[in-house]
Amino acid sequence: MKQLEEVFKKQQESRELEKSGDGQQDTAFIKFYLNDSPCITPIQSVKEILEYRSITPYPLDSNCHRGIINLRGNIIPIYNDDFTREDYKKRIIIFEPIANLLFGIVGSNVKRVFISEETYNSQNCHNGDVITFENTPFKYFSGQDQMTAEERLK
Amino acid sequence: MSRQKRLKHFANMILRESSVVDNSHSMEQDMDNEFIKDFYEEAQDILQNIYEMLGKYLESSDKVEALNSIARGVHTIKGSCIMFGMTQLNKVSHDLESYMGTLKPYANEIIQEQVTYILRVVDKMSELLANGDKGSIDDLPLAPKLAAISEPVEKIVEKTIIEEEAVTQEENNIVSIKNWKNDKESSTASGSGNGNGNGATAVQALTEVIRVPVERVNQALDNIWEIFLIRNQLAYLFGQNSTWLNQHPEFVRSWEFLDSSLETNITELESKTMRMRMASLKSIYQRLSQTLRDYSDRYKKPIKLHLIGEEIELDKKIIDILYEPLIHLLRNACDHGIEEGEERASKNKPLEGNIYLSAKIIGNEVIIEIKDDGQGIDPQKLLKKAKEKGLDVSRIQTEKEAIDIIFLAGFSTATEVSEISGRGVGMDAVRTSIQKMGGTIKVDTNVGSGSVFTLTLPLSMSVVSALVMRVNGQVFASTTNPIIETKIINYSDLNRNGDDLYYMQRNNYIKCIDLKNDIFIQSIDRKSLVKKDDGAICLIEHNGQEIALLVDCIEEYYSLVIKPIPSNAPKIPFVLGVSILATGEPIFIISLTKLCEFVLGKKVQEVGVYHEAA
Repeated sequence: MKQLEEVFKKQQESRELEKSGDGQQDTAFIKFYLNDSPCITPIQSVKEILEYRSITPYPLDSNCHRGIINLRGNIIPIYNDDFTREDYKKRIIIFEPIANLLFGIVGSNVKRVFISEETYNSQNCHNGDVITFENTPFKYFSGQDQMTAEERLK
Repeated sequence: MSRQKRLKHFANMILRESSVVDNSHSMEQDMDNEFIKDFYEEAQDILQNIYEMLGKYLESSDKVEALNSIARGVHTIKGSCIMFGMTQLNKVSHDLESYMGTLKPYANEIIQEQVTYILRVVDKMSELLANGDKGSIDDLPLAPKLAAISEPVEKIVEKTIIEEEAVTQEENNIVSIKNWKNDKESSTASGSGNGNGNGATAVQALTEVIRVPVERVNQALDNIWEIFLIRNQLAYLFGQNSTWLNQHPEFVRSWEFLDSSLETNITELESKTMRMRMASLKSIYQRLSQTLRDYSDRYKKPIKLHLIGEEIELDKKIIDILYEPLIHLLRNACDHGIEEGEERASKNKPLEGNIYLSAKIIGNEVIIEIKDDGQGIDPQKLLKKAKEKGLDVSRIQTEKEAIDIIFLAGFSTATEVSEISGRGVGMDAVRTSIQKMGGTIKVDTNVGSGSVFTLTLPLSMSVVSALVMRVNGQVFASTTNPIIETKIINYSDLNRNGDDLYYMQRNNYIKCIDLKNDIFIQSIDRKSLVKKDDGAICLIEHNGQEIALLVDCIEEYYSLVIKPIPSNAPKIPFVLGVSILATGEPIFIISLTKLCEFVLGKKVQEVGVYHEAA
């Protein structure tokens, strides 16, 4: 619940910044690592960010699908797990592409960043596309399109 | 549908026709959809009651009242359906009402012939209702005459139709108003006219009934199960703090009292709410009777269906799925089981075949049997057919195993595909449906005297008794119904023959499947894996033979709430659903019989013997 409140707070802050003169050109994003690969996703598409918890694996190996977690009585499929970056704290990022149909991915080193709209708009913003920010290429991850997100995680 | 709602709908209809309101208004459409839904539900209830009354008509002590009740039901449908432009349904119900009007003075002389005719017409009404008034009404048989009536019935019906209102599109609204009036009159009549006070009681009973969408009941149940799980988690937390609790005995006593009271109340609330979602088998039985009547007529094969236990109530979820497997079994019994007339005569059997469909509750399970007095299933014939189809039958040793061939996908002994059966998709689909509900199916047969198919199903698909086991360090649960026995063993108790593993019990070698080679392989934590000498065996019955499943250990028995797998998660053939343990950890609920099928199928495919069945 606390994490959910934090995300809402961040979303609110992001909206306020967008409205104000200073932040008018900036959009809030979540930056994270997926198996050593830096990724970025718009904060609006994130439903909740959770502390890492153990994932119940599927009885059979299933491509990018790792398992399920229980989130306040809801069963949520988790699409990947980050096995590489044990030095960073792992988080579960929950997306809600369709109402009441959630899925999660495991990322590490999760941080909030602001990118200017100019930078954001000038580059491709589809799943898997690269956005250069602070001289680092980030892979754009959109949780809004579950199909391409799944493809992206394979 | 209430009179007030009808008036509202009628007012809307008039307004629309006079173009006062915009036809495309979405609220109005929503309201219309609601009316249609109400009408369908009401009409279905009425038809179900009519079927019930017709089923008991000949044994009824007050045939006049029974006929009146049926006529009232038909009249209500007739009156309501025209508002939705269902002219065919209106005509059929109108004709039936008129026919019944002619029978009214002779209610006590009505015989099976008239009842069958009325049933046919009611079947047609059900069909039209289900298909949105689409379909032909020309195939209805002629109304049978009644010996007591001197004038031919057809003429009377014809005359009555002319005398009564001629339904045209322009007059629909008038008809509707007239029907409301008739409804009111008939309800007043039923309230005061029968003189025994039953009408008043019925009206009182009606006011005490409300329609609640199943979805709302399901939402309430979801909340109850959530409380159920939270209570389990509280009990777990309580157990985790035993040192502190030992120092506070007073607190423990109060806690235990409150916990036990909470548990009782949750269980009671769950059972009461579940009952709201329970439906009787009556609706399925009626549809099966209808199918049998059609089959008998079409193929000129006299068969009597004996129905036992129609009052038994099951979870509506199960009722909804159960119809398909039952219809398959009934059709198979008619087509493959019951012999043709000449054959039956040569075997000194009565010409009319018999199928018995019975249901009974034992513990928290319902046992449904479909028994026929037909020719039975010949295991030799099945084996021959299986060989012809290229199936590997070398491992089949007993008659029971041979009979279970019928459950293989694509297997059929029928030389010709009929409209009823012979496509070879039936029995496999039946077993899959039953297993999806957490149930089992078995067949017993005697060549020459018939077969019995026994379906064992849980009363509810929501709370199941489950056994939690561990394989490769991961826990999973299985429903307890296929499990015969569990036992802790030492690996040295197992015998190996090549790649095959066997468990010896009472001088019998039972095939053993080591599940650690098949599930949760990807999640093995090699570092923490400790090689152990002991494990546990879970003995189950699969396709008539015993199979031992080897697991790391058996943890505990639980009552678990089955939740569906989220639609965006991968589909695994042997997973029935998910549940949440007291620790808050999610757990997969697995069908052990499906898992066996999966593992054995995989192994057979690996050695390349499996040609067709999969």
